[in-house]
Amino acid sequence: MNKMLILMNILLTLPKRVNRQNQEYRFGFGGISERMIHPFVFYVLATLIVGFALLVVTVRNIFHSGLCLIGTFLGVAGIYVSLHNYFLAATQLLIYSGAIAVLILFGIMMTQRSWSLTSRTHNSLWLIGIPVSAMMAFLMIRSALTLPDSPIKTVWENLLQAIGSVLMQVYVLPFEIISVVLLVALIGAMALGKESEEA
Amino acid sequence: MFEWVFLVPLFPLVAFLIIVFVARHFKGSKISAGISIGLNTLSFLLAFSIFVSLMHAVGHQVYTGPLEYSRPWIDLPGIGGFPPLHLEVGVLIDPLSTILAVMVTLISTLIMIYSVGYMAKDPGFSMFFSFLSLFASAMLLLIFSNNFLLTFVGWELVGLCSYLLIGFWYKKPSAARAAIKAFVVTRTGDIGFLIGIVILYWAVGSLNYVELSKMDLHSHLLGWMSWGVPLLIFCGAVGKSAQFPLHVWLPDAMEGPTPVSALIHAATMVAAGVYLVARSYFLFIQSPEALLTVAWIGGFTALLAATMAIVQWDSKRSLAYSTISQLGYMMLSLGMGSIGFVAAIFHLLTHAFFKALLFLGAGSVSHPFHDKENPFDMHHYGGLSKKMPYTYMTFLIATLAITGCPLFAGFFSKDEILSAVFHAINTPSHLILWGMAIFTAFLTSAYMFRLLFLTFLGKEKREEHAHESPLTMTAPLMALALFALVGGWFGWPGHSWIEGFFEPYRALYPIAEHGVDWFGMGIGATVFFLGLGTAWVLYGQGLRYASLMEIPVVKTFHHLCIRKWYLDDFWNFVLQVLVYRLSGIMSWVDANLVDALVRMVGNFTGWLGQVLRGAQTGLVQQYLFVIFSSLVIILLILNSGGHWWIVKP
Amino acid sequence: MIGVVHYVILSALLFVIGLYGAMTRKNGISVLMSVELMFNAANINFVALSYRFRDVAFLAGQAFPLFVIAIAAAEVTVGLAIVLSLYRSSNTVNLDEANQLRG
Repeated sequence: MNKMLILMNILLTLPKRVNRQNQEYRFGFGGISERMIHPFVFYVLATLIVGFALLVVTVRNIFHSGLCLIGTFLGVAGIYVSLHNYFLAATQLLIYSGAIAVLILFGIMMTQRSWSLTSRTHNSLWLIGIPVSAMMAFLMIRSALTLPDSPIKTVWENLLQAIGSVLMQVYVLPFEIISVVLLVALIGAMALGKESEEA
Repeated sequence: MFEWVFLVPLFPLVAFLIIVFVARHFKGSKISAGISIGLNTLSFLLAFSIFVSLMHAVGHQVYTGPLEYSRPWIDLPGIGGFPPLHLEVGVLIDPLSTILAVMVTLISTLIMIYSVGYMAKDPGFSMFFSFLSLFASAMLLLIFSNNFLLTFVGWELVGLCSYLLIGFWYKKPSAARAAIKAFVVTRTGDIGFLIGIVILYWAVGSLNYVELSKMDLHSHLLGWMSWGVPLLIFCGAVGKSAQFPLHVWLPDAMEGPTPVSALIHAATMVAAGVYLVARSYFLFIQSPEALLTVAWIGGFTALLAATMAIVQWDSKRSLAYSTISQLGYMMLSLGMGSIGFVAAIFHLLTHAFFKALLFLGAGSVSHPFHDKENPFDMHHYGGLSKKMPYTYMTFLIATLAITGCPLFAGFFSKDEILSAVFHAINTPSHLILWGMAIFTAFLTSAYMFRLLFLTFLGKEKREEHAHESPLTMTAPLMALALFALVGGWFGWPGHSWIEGFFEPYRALYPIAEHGVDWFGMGIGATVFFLGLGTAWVLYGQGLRYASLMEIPVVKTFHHLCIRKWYLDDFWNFVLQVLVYRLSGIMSWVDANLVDALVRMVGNFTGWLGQVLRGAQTGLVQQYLFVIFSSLVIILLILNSGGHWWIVKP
Repeated sequence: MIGVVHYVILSALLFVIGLYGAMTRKNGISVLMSVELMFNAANINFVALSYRFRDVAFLAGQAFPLFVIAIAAAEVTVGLAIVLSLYRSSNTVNLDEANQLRG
């Protein structure tokens, strides 16, 4: 295990590594360099995310549920910003809040006739699902609490460049495979849609 | 020269493979026969040149001992009480193996030539030749192998070929039955052979003939093993060489094509038992009990089979009983100890030629009668000597040879055996054996001339279409007749070439010198003429034996012989009562106890499946629920450090 | 100070909510949305924990969500196509009515 970690370290630190142990931490949201998120902002974001997520899984009107999903995605984008990964935040906005949300809303609208506000929205597991999920949450949080806390501070001056070079050097094979996967998904989706038309 | 000996068994094997995979598919041509005969001839030439070289070596006293060429086969360390396993694949060249190889290759080549004519119109022509080639290969492997295990491999292979060839016309129910009978009966003996090999290896730690023959077996084979091991190995020989009580398969084996009867069931395979005893003679010679058993079984078989041969109306069956009888002679001779060793081998060789000739002659006679229900039934025959002059002449020579007419082959070899038995007389038991042997010689003469007279003399039976066989059939007859005529001269009393050739064995098995045995020869000639006279009186001038049947004793005796001394019935009884009844019990146990258990396992699985199929609801979300609730439970158990009922914070 | 643990707890909550939705919602599209929530939880974990293991796997944690997003996009495409074809064939998007694989 140790050897694997060391190997990964070597692989992942190809560009020049900057070590800034003694940094000055300024509180605030966003910004460019070593700032940490203000707890208040974090809790607001977290409340938004969890609240919207709960609405997604509980709300009766599935269209509202889709809209709440967009809210969750936006909140997660904010979380990424607080984690200093602005590129990921932008990707989240574009792909999740943009493309995937629109896709899902289209799907909801295309299958509009099949649901109604009067029918039940949950299946027979709705009650027993709660303790199981709660137990799961309990276990996960308990194990998270055993984790030593680490501050959130930037390590890379120019993170996007570093990610880019990692993608094109270390992860070039997964990167290419992902493109094939997307192509396959595209063709698969078309095939599924077309087949049902004929049937 | 000698290192090429492995090619001798290989050539016929190549012929077999070529025919099976290639030549068989060329319909209507005789290419298979060409391949078989060609490669067998090569094999014969090689064996013959090895034989000549060896003869030269023996003649000039440069032969120092058996030559071995072997490769390791299996090498395993010892386990438990068992010694380390060193098995080898190798060939052994000594006078015994070489002279038999020459005989086998020569006779198989001649019989293949004969088969071209005999099997000409058979649809299985190619397969017949492939089986014959495989048989020749296996037989040569058996002969040349240098250890018991490889001999056993060849032994089983010739058994397989015998099965295939007896049942060659497998659409005939009697042929199929005969094939199975031959296979099962010989296998019965082979079990003993195999057990003997295992015990021998366990006790001595070697299966190599040369090593074993140089060892002091008395210090290894203790107690019962000293006679038990040779007798177990003799079991195999009893089965293969059709000795009492396992002789019952050989007469039925005559259902096969005649060339098969001639090659396998007269000349070569059935002689393998004699060869095996001769090859492992070092085991027998150290145990007087084993030798005496061999002698008694051989002598008794010889007499018993001769009595059965004399009442048969089927010419081939009669010859089959004659074969059993002659093989009994060889066993008897081997049972006399080292004094009869060479005589047995000599008789084996001469017998191979004249008995093959007799069978081929019988086949040639039956050839025009192939549309009869049984072409070998002698009721159809009579007065064929003019229609088939060549067959008649060769058959006559063979008959004179087997009956021991002076100057013919059988006279010398049988005389050797009789004089060996005579010289071995030192107990009453040997005296009885000698008397049995003499009486058998008389019977041999009688039944063979009966066969000859019934077939070729007497009145013709309006068989207008009886004709001489084609040249491919008569030419091998004449070649074999030559050997039947002069074969015995190799053992001319006083100037015996064969004893000179087997001189090297004198060191192993000391042979008492005895000069020209005029007494034995006189007895042999006398019983020959007695038998000839008896046959002439009863069968030569019309069938006069009917009046003899009026005598009650003769009638009873005749009835016993016809019923084969109730031995077939005995074996049937054994099968019915013991084997089938035991099988019935076993079958019941299997069906109601073992199978029930197995079925229970199956039924339980089915029931479990019926129960568990309820869990397969097809609803993905339920699966997800089960997965995650299981995960929760597992994590709780893991986190509680084994005390899963206590949920730690 | 807000550290890695806060983010991990947030992600755990988000994951469990997604799990509950995936287990209990009848509507196939709702289930897809819940799965998206779980994906997001995983992404948050990746990025947050890269700070915890910043000496060995910082860039890996930062770059991996990109792959996850790509996979999620593909998943949602195919998933929606399946739901639509289910809708066309049996005129429903309720997963508890799609039990043709029942044993």
